Amino acid sequence: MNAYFFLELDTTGPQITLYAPDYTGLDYCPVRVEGDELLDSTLDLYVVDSKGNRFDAIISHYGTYFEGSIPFHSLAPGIATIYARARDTVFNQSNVAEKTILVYGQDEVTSLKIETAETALVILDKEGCLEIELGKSLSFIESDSLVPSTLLVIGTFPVLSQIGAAEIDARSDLMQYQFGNTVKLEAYFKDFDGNPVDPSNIKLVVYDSKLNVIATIQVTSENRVELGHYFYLYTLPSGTNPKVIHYEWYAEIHGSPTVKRETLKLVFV
Amino acid sequence: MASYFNLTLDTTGPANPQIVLESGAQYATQQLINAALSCSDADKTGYQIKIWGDVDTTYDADVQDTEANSNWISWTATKQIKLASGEGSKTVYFKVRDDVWNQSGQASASIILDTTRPIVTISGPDVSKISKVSGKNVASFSFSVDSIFDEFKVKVVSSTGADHNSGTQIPTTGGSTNMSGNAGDYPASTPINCQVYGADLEAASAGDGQKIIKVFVKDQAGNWSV
Repeated sequence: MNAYFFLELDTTGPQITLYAPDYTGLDYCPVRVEGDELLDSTLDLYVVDSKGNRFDAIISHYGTYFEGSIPFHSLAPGIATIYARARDTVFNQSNVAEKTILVYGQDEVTSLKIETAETALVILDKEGCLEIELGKSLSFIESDSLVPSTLLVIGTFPVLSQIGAAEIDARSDLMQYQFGNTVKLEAYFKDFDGNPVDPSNIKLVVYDSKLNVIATIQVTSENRVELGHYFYLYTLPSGTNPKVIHYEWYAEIHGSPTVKRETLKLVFV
Repeated sequence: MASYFNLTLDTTGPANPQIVLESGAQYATQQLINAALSCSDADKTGYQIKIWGDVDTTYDADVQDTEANSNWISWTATKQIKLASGEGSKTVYFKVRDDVWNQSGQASASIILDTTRPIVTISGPDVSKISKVSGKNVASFSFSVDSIFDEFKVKVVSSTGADHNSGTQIPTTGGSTNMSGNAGDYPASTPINCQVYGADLEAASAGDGQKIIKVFVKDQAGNWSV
């Protein structure tokens, strides 16, 4: 036996980076917090909305990062800020990472900022579709023409340009996939001891950005690669406007459900 | 010319011969030791000594395993001898004779040769990484030794083969426990529980990173573990 052992001293906190879209609706917003080392499962994650209200959130822990979607349903429209602070496995605290995010909502004017006559408009209807009309003055819009469910966001030209770009590049943290393409989705199932295991009732569930189920696929032994390893060739929906979808591997191991969710960004080109 | 002369008759051997091995130590941790020789005669001019006993007979032709095989050599107050190999008690004998070869009585001394280093066995630590943040700032381990020992110390060393003279002792000001002890007669095969706190580890070895923590013990013979 040895008369010595190795002991690591770590007094330095991890550095974390917070990834989130530049804007979101009153929906689930994907968030990822990445650390530069293995992180403890404790994450202080919260959002402060435009009215100063704080909303705590929980997302899943995956070793060096956290990932998940946090609900924005109760947030006030406007500029919100997401804050995150993690700690490493020996409780050294990380930096506080933050990310501002534009929250657009319904039935409410979230911003009114007119600096020039050449004001551009963004009109978001209740479906969250984006329309941009550049170069129009506010005087062209009759307030009576706005239906109650219409969200009006008004900003200066540069701001609107940024918003427009945000729409196109939203979820820039995600890998892009082309509409209509077929992707290979894989899952590795393990028990609590880390051993590969073949689960039962394996399903692949696909959601749209509003978490509406758009496909539920029963995965069988034909999709089995090896013990605990499954795949499915999924053909992505068609479309042209960039959007995100979520997919979920669902299975039961010894009667206990296990899920793993990921997000895909779909683009035309 | 004188018609007489003086002739001294001396039939008395040197008085009170003594031999002391390694300053009277109970144990010797190596074969080469020093023997201190004395007798109460003030003037030792022309005196000779003879040493024999449990010695390595190849080391010194004058110091052999029996009185008959050893030789008389000139008086010296100290003599380096090499004990016979093998663990255990060793006895060395000594005689002195004066300038007219009156021999003293026989003196002897014994010492236990123990060259075996104690073996330390560590259990733990319970964690491989600590910080200075409460809840994650301490590593616990225990150690035991295969023989009774008198002293121990826990050090940060630069290599796994470091000896007890190298490295930095971990202090206890930050809360660490049992980082050293010299109470003596620590029982064999009995775990001693220790805790290392991050603040003390940092004090002993500044900077983040992997440290080598090593436990050293000294047995009753004076052998330090490695």
